[in-house]
Amino acid sequence: MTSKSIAPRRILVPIDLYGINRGTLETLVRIARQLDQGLLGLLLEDTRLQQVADLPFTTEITLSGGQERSLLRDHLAQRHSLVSTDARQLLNELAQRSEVELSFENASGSRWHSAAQRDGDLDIFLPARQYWHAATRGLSNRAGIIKRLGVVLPEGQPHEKLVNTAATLLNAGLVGDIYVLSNLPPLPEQLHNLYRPGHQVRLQRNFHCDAASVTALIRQSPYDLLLLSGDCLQGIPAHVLEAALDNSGGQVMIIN
Amino acid sequence: MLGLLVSLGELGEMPKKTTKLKKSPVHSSLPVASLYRHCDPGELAFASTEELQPLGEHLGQDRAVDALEFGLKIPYDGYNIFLLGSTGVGKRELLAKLLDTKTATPQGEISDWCYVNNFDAPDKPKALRLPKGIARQLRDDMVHMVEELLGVMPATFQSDEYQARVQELAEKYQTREQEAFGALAEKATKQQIAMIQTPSGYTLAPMKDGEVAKPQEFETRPEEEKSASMKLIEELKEELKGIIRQLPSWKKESRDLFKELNKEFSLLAIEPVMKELKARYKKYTEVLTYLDAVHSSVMEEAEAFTQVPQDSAIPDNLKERVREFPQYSVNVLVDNQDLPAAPIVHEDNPSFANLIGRVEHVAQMGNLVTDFTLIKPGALHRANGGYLVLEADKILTSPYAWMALKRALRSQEIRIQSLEQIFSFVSTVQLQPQSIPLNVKVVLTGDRYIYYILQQYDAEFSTLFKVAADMSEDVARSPTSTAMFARMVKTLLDRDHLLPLDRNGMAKVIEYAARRMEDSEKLSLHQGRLRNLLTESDFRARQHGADLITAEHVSNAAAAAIHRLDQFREKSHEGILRDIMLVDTTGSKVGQVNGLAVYLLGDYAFGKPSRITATARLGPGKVLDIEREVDLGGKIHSKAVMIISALLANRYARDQPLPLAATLVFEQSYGGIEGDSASVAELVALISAIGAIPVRQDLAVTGSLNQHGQVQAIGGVNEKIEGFFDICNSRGLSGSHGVVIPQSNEVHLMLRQDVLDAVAAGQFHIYCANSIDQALEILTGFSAASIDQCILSRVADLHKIAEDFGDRGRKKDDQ
Repeated sequence: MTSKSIAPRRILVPIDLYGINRGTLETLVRIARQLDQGLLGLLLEDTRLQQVADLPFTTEITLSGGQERSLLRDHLAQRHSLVSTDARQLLNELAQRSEVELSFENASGSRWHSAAQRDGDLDIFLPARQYWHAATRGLSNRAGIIKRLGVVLPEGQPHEKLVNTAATLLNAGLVGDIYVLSNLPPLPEQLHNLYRPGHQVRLQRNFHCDAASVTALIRQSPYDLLLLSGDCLQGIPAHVLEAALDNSGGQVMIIN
Repeated sequence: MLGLLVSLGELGEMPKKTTKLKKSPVHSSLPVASLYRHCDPGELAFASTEELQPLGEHLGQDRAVDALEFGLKIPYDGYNIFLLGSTGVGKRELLAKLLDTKTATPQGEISDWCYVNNFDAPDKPKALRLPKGIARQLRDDMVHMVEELLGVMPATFQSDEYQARVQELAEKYQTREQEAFGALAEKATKQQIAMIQTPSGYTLAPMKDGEVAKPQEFETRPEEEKSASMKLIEELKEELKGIIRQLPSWKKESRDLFKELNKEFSLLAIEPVMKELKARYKKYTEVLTYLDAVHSSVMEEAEAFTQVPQDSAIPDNLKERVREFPQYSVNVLVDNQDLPAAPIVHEDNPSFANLIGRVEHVAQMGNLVTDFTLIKPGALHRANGGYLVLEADKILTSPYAWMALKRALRSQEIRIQSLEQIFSFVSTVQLQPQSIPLNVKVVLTGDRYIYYILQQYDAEFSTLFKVAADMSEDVARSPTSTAMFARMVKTLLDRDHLLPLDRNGMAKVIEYAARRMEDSEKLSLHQGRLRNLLTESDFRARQHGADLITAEHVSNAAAAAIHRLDQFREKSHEGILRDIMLVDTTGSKVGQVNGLAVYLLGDYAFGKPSRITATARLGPGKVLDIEREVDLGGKIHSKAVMIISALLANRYARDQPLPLAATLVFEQSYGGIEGDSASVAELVALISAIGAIPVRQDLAVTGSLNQHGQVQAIGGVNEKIEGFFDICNSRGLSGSHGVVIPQSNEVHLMLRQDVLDAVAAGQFHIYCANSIDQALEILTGFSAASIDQCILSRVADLHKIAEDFGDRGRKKDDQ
């Protein structure tokens, strides 16, 4: 008789040169713990930017003040090292405290591109990059708390996993209100799973899960966390999705 | 010099009796009935005090009551009151009767007072005057307002409408930024230049086949192409910089729009709350002004109300969160809601801070910080519009409290300042609460001497305390006043829940009150001592299981009270009885008289005989007071000796110098001597010494003298008589023992029962003297006329000796 150990599902989080703040990582670790999933940190090197840095005359124009400064490969390497080390330490600390399995891998390329290329049964957590947008929501947001959770339920696709994920986070007290986006009204049992006293469940009908709508939703996400199934992203060009994610003001989690 | 000494030796001999002394007429002693005025229980028309009604009026205090009623009613400035009277005379009780907490008339309008935040200058909190009961209501309403905002504001800012508007704003900004960068990126791409985002900004790089050119490939390009690319990149960089330079203004524009949005939504949430609040207080202009300031502040601080802690979904927690907004709280300084009449405040500890209030501090991170919520009221705040009762000695001995009270009364406002501020000892920022108008009637209570000291030395006192209410210490003893006194005793018994007194017990109490006054025709109104006697009598009665306090209980209580303090008297008398302190009580002596001193030990006094001696010899006519020479005599005693010197010279040498030198001394006196009550004894000792006339030692004498030889009253007559009686009694009464007292002191006699018994048995005698002649006759047994002749004869002898002495001296000089 042989025994086969079942590896837990994992959430992949790409970490590029922009880094991830502590609050976002705390939220991620709490989500992983509640979903009983491990974490895979994908430490990304930006090869394209390195290539630019190799050009002899390359300079960088900073957004803060429009200053021009040289863009050197060494600087990029240093930054990569710094961001990777910080993220590793922080994630290690948080994961250990929450008893969440954690591993790291190195890769190169952009966030979505690198994450989408991974094989295996992985969910993907993509941190927000536009913090200014998040800050305008007021000071009520606290690390680890998802006040507004958006859930996209595409038509004609199974929703069970998405609904269960949302329900688990809701049960764990991580979620304030839930916003369900779908074309057709959700099934009563789905709504029942998402209903808890003291929390609101709001329905947004007529949401078509096409590439344009999903891209716009990601780019202009009013939610602290947006749950999407991987199927929703089919047909969206990688660079378009990448651009949308770069402009998103909320976290996005792809459930595969 | 040698001859002078020989002559002095001759002069030192006792003078010869050339004049025969004649016996004096008989001076009768006082009958026993004159020595104590009993209170006849039969005159008391009750069996026990249970039958009496408590005294509603103020026995013997008509003058004080009139003054108090006048002072309490007169509404003008400076008519504050000083209630004079010794400690225990019943000042507080009298005030309590006249100043009823249920009916006291207000000094103007009675208001609540509170301090609120001054939003323009937080270090200068504003004072709000409100009608009774409104301050508490305002405080509660402000708490409620913050609670409501804490509930409403987060809901407003989490609403979908607000979020949608925020989203719209964010998109607008994002779109503007993206379009600008996107257009430039597109333009660059068309020119084979890639615009790439970096973590901190953007970079530009040449492209080849839609991808960023590799360094090696770029190096192989012709120089012209490379230069062209570089030139393009430089141009694009400038455009990029131009866009980036616009970003701050776009952001500012966006932030301003965001602020406007917040303001719009804040208004929606705040307006109804504030409108309701303002409607409630529309009658109070000051409150409305304050609420306007609150409204503005809440609008500015709206974001703070939107913060929601994780567990704040439970409504009760909002109460806790109200503390996060102390700037909107109301510090109710004075709440008069429950007062039925004007406030009456008795401040037992009138320190500087307790009087004018203080600003407290709390420690935060090692620093002391404060705000308007830590302002604490003083007695003046609490009494504002009513009455403040203070004990003069306490306020005068509290550092700077008197100064603060006067300043407040003078300026008619209460300004809370620390001593550090007043004396400019600190330069750190301190709270300067707005002054509060003061309208209060201050009643100071204290001993007379304090009143007169203040009158003498404090120029402001008479302008601030114009009404003196002088309490009487006694009342004339009459059947009416005795009956009233009995009812006053009944009042005290009821107040202290003591057993009732029977008729005999009351008679004893009345006699005690007369003796305390040292006056058989007066009754002491000192309630403190009276209450002590009643309480101790009650204790003894209860110990014996009695239902009533009897005369025996009262007598025993009074005797026990004396016994507790009596040790010093015992030791003192013991010294005399053991002949350590020399006092003769038999026979006659020349130049030696028994004087009587009284010792005051707090509330206890006793008398003690002292030997007074005198010497007289040829000299320049001066009486030497040895006590004064060694600084043991007080000023009054020195004055008395000067008076008897003058009396002596006037009586025996009106037309010539008095050719003698006399000395006077209190034998075995090692402390100070003060007072003039030994004047009679001293003059008798001097006359005895000059004329070699023996003085009876079985008698003691007390009394002061004037220059005409009249004997004047002295104090402590009962204790003095009893002091000599105790010594004589211990040695054995012979029937001739007695005391000579001034005639004017006869009314003060309230002697002990054992003295009365001895007098009744003819074993002890009390003589009264009006003049020095009478005193001399009683003390020597010779007529005053014959004594005068004797002294005149001796004076003439001394003159002759002086002349002879002068002649002999001149002859020696001639030789």
